[in-house]
Amino acid sequence: MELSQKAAADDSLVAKLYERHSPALFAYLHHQTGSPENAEDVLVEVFVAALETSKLDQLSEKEQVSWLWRVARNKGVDAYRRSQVRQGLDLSLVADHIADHERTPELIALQREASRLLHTHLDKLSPVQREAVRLRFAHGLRSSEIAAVMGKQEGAVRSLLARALNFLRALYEKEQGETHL
Amino acid sequence: MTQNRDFFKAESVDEQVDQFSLSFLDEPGTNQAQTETRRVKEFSTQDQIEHRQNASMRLVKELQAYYQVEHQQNLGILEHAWGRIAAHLPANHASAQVQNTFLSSPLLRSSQARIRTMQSQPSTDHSTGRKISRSVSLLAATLVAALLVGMLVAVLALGHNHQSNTVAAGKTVTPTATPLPVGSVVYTRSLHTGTNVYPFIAWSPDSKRIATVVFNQQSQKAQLQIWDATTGGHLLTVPLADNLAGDELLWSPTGKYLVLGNLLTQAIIDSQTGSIVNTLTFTTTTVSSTSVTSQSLLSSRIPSGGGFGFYSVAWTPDGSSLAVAVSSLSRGIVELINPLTSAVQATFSTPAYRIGIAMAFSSDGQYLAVSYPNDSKIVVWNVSTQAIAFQQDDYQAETIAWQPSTHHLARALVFPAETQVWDISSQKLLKTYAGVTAFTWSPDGKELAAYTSFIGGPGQPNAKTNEVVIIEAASGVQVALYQSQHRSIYTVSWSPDGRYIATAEASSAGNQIVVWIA
Repeated sequence: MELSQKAAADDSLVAKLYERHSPALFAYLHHQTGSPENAEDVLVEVFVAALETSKLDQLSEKEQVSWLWRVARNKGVDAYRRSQVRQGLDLSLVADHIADHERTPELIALQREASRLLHTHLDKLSPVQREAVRLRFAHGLRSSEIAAVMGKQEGAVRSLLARALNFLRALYEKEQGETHL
Repeated sequence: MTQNRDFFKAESVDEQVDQFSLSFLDEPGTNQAQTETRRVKEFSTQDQIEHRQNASMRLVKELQAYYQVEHQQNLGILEHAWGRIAAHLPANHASAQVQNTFLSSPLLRSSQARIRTMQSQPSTDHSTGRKISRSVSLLAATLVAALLVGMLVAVLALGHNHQSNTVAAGKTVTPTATPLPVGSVVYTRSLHTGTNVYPFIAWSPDSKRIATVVFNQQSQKAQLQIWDATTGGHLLTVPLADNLAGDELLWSPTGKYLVLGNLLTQAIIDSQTGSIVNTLTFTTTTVSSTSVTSQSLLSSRIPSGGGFGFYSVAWTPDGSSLAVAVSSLSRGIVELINPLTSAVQATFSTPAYRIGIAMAFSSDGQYLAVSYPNDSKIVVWNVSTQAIAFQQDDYQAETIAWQPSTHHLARALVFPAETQVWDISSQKLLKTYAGVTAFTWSPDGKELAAYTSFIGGPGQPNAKTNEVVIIEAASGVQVALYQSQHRSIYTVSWSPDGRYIATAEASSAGNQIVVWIA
């Protein structure tokens, strides 16, 4: 894979874009491709494409972000065709963009150990709320990024995140016997 | 829970979580705690603040602890991915710089630091402009998408007003077709719980049979099912070998064969008996070991990371040959193959594009179009000369289809959400249907059945996933609307005689295929 001189000059730009946007793109691709391994592969393809394109530095930051999402989306589609479809598609899971991503048994066990109580509480959230909370804490995303990943409006994500946290907090208080509040 | 007890506010939820996240990281940082107390003063009296804050802080801490393993795993993947990307840099100076951000700091902290830099702090941060422009860009993208959806809604509303007239006019074309109104469900074929439908439905060319592939999650087995298209009665079940579960299923225009396959294998199946009459195999010997992704320990399996194999297939309109888009290391080609002997009859080459995701012949067989979305190209060949007749740059289309009986090529984009129709002979844009991200032509080419691409994504925040809109191609006006009782529609397939449409639909109760009057 040949790199042009142009791309070589762009590498710090790509590094900056990676630092800023890779977590949200990764979360999105994880969602689209159904596995962290496939998501990583596609993420690499996206940023290698960013390195190889000569036009990225001529774009505004807004256009650069839009370019990254466009390429990620298309490469995600491709990866999706490569992997998931062949194993059959649980349409109802894809439906609301709420698929509970593949979590290994060890991961689940560790999480359980970390907080049995919270686990029970999280199960009481709606799937969409749980997904938003997961994107916030497991991927470190902010509302605008969660909105992009879930295909929702930022305002809607803010509301549902606040609602989910307030709901958890209320349960938490109750369990702790802090009912005087 | 009453409103005034809600500690987390929609407008500041990010910042509130950040506050507690940071205090968690810096504990027992008393300064942080004081800052928080100041910030939340407006909410309530001091006593309540402390209680609420304690509960909220505990919650955020618990959530962080709960997701920490997953978070670290994710950061580890990002770091690993950057290592792979950096391998493509001529010098590694930039990689070192970024890698340090991930490696040198504690994982949680690095993520929080990243989050912090995204907050706009006008008084201290000189690069606020860029950061704002980042959120503005997201906002703008959302607004544009909302606008497009809005336009579609407007078109629909307009269409609805004119619906009775237009439908009446449209129906004169096929007056004897059926007395039932458009959208009337003929039958629903429910699949057993735990059985998934593949997102494709194939009609036989005489419109008498329908084929699809279903996948049983418990047995992990796929089977080809063929049933009577008008009654839904079962005709044939073919258990499929594991290597045959497919990406695509197409009925040959002669009606005799089906092609079913995936990246590595394409099987030609006799549609009456279900027996496999020929198999095309992608030979991995043509795949060099210097895959782009070969550095990854996580992705050593060919072809999932490499982009090799059969990416799309299409029958020639006379059914004599099968076109196969073959992707390899350096570029993609299209081979025209005798389906029964596997003999290559012709080869179509691209300059450098690799993965042809969608392929279609014009109905007269003169042109072949292939979309290479990862290279943003659509290539149209003249079939008889194998020369490139037309090429479109900057179009990342997942769906392309020729308007029947014309040389007009329609392509659907999800971002931005629109479908455009181009006249390939004059190389001119004829029509744009805003908001349409997936579609299928009516067999007479006069209408399109438009729906929401099941791939979705950031471009379509509010798109309806349970509707099919029939659009009159010439005017762009909605002439009919089908609303599913189920949550989502994934595939829409028009019967070759134009009378019915089959949709693959999903609900919480399971998946089904619905056939309704077109």
